[in-house]
Amino acid sequence: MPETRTTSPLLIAAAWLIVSIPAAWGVYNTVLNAKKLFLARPPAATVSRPPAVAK
Amino acid sequence: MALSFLDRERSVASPGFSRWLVPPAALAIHLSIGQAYAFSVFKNPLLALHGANGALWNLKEVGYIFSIAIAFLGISAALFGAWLERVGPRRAMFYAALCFGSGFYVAALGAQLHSLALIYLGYGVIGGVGLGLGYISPVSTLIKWFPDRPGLATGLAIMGFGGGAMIGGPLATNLMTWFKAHGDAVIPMTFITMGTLYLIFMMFGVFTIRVPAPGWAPAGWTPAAKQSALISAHNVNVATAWKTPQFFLLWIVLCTNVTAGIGILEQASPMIQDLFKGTIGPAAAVGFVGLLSLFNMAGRFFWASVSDYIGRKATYFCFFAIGAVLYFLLPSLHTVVAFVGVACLLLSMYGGGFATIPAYLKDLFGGFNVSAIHGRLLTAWSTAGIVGPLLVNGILDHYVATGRPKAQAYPTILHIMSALLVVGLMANLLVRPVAARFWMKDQTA
Repeated sequence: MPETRTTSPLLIAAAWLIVSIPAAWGVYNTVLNAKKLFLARPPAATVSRPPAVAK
Repeated sequence: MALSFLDRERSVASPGFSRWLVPPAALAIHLSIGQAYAFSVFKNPLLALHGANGALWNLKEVGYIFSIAIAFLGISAALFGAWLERVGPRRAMFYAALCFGSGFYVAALGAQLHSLALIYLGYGVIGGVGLGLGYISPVSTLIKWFPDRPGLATGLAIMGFGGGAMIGGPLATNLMTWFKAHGDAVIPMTFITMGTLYLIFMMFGVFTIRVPAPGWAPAGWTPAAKQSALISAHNVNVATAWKTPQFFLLWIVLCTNVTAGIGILEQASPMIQDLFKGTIGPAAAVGFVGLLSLFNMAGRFFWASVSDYIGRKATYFCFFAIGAVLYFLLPSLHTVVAFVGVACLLLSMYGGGFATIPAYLKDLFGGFNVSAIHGRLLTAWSTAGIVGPLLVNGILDHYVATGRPKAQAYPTILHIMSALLVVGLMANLLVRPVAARFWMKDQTA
């Protein structure tokens, strides 16, 4: 009976790693961007107010 | 023949081959072609590019590059789907890689010579054909390898398309910064580098992909004896499938779901700034767009996987029923947290709509020609890609032209999107099993 060669788990892990690394890099960059929503200071709504020195 | 290694017969998996090598192959293609969604990073650099006579391109002219690429995605997916089923995924993925990579090279020449026509031809037409071929090529192969979890398998690949923009955007930005710092021609060199990187990455997919041997099934798996009437044990040929009412209904389902999603995506940044003036500035709006991208990507995997358990029709029922209510309520949400949360949920369902449709097609029409049928259905995406922005921008322009604030236009836009989802809901409810007269006589799933 011919021997069946099964795929090495290392090969499967390597294949997933090849696609996971750029994907993880992309997600990391996007998360950095997304954080700005929570960390960014409100725009100068205050800009429309008269500056304190103007009086 | 020199390219005989691409033949379907040469890509049949030997016994013992693990099916878990197939999703990375599909992801290599989709993560690459998903770059198209990040093309906007080139807009400003292209607008700043001077011709020999000092001429500049305008925003409309540059905007056509992306539109042409998406139009050719739909056209090539529809035209080459049947060919792909015949020659197998490896050959189709090989040509997709060649088209997508060389499209960048031709576009680089166009940027160097300041010829917009060459950029249209390169990135738009040639690259667009690569997009279409690449998008549909792994679909039926994944479904054949994962008959037990078709939603999860196709969701994984199509999630890659959503993730591609997350790689393509920062990659392009970093490359442009690097070439600028080294005094090189920024756009041509960035295009050439990206074309080469994507060509190599996609070739990994080409040489990893395998089709299962005829009659192969996962170890220990047997098709459920009793399953939903919407899951057919019969196949329908692509030439017949697109004439069925089910195809027409799914076309409306995809088109309405995508159009509604574009309603948010197209205007995400200005919309949140206009609606929350004084609270959300440009930097936070960039964060909002990033968050939407994450949910768009995650929704592809999540909803497609969920559809394996609750069924495709029920999944789309959720998209349309929940979506219609949320789009209607969105303009009346006055806190940033509620607005962002709802928008993220809506975008997850937009992504889920893309990722669940191949499994829906497989359920109704069988796996035999599913890539080809999927290819023809993608014309709904191209249509939505044109109709969505036209609708949104048309309403915004009208408000601006009549002297009203832009913020007042968003409720109208979002209510129209809500109504579109009701149309999609009706179409989805009307989906019934494909009639026996459409079945192929000599093939069973």
